[in-house]
Amino acid sequence: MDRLIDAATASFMLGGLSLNLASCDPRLQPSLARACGCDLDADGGRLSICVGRVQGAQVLGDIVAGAAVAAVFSEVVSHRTLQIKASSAVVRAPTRADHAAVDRYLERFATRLDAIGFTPRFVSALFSFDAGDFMVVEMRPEEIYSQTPGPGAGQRLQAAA
Amino acid sequence: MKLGLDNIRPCLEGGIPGVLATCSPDGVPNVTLVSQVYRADAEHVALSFQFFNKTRENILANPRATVQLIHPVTAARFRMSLHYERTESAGPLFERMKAQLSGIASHTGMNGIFHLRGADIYRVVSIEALPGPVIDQPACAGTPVPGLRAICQQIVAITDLDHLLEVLLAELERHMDFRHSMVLLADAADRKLYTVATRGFSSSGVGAEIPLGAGVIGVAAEQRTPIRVSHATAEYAYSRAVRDALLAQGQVESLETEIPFPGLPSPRSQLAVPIVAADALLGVLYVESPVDQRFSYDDEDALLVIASLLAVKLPGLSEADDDAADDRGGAEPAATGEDPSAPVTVRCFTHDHSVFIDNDYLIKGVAGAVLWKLLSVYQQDQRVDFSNRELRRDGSLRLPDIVDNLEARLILLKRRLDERCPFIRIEKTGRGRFRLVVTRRLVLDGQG
Repeated sequence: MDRLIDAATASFMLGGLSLNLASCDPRLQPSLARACGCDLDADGGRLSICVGRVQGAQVLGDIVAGAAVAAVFSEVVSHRTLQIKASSAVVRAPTRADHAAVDRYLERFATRLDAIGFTPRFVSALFSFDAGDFMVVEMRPEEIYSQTPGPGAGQRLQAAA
Repeated sequence: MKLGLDNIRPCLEGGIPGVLATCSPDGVPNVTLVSQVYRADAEHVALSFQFFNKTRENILANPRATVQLIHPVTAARFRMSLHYERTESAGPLFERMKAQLSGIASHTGMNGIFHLRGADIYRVVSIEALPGPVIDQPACAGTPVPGLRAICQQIVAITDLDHLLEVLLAELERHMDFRHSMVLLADAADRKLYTVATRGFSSSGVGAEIPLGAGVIGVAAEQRTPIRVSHATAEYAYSRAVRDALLAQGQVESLETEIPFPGLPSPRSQLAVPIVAADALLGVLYVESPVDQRFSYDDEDALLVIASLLAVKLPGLSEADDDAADDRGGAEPAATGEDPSAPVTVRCFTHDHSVFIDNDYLIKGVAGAVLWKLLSVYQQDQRVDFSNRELRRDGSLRLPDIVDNLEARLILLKRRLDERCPFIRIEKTGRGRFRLVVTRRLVLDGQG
């Protein structure tokens, strides 16, 4: 089976990107939350996204109820953007490894934001509440799309076999 | 307190991209970044429609959307539920967004990639403040309201247009730190604006003209809507805008192109606000800055208030002048202060009323025609005192918009003379009256 997320894409995704997660409720109202961390297993087949429990209450609830998920990864300077979709996901409590992933993510994202003028204090204000109390959304990526701005945005990159 | 759009305006400046989630009728979510969530009015936002994509497909089938925003200073986070209503592909809102997007595109290296096809309008269903710490705003980040109050109090008391314009631009610098400003007035017949007062530029540029629809100023005038751009944008640069307008219209032969436009070489922030009375466009109040994101929604509000006051005041100033004036100025003989040195030739080409002083271009159009008239009367009758009213009634000028704009044209003429011609002056002698002061011998040469 071809890997949906190859090593280069995985490295990009884990590089401290702007990361948001969406789902929807039975009335088709979209739910949305900014993530505070993510991780991929070694073969790129399992993606974990960390979301603050309070801020993400709606999106976590929708996922628990069985709704599909979409996650967008965007590099703030280049605007290179990927969206990953899965028809379902599980919500679980964080492990020690997830806490380490959140720390790594925040450090990398802060470095990227610092380069464009946002202070560590700003980044800390943005994430400290979520990072103190988060849940993990775990999914098997099924579709991946390029969303880098331009006419090619929305193009499906590769399908899982 | 229930949060409204105007409580979160800094989030709508395009400083930090928003995140937009939609979903298809079969429940598949889609999430994407949006360069700016734009305030359309107090209850609606607009998002740029640039490409046919999944978001668009989703909202056409299921109008529900959710967007998340970050305050660029405090880091406060907000989430809004939206309901898609319609798409506009022309008009004031579209043009406001197009100009703003053009600035964002240049700033983010997306020139030529961002292209606005439409403004998707969404009703704001609810706004939720997300929990988390926020950074205190610096105390100096106050509102412009006290400055606005001071400026309005000053200009409301002034009864002379020339003085009013000068005070206005000086007070904008003093109270709001707007260091580069100008007022342009409308020439409705020729679909253009002419610069009548400026402050903070290397040359005054009084007399320079802009076609309606060209650049930030021309678009603000044509659409009668404020246009605010927060970054440098070549698309709206004056030179290009005028060139494009000339190419597109092919008819702006009367446009003043000899007097260079006085703007900064490459402004990084621009804000143009139309001065509109009832249905009539009177002009544009314009400020610019070499700094990115210099002008906020609050600044736009403040300039709009001032423009509203100008819209009420400007017509009254001309009428007051007219009422105060005699039918004719006094018939005193000319002052005999003429320099005995060689005469100066003043040439007027009657097809466009362009006036040259010893081959140096001075002015054309209405102001040129008025000057030629004054100089002709001066040469023939030695008369130096004139009234606005007699010019208004002068059939020989036969200029379509002179009734509306005479006072402004006289200011323009006076300033051009002050800048370019030390031996001809116009001095105000009372309301609606002025004196022509000539200190060299003139030879008038009218050319068909």
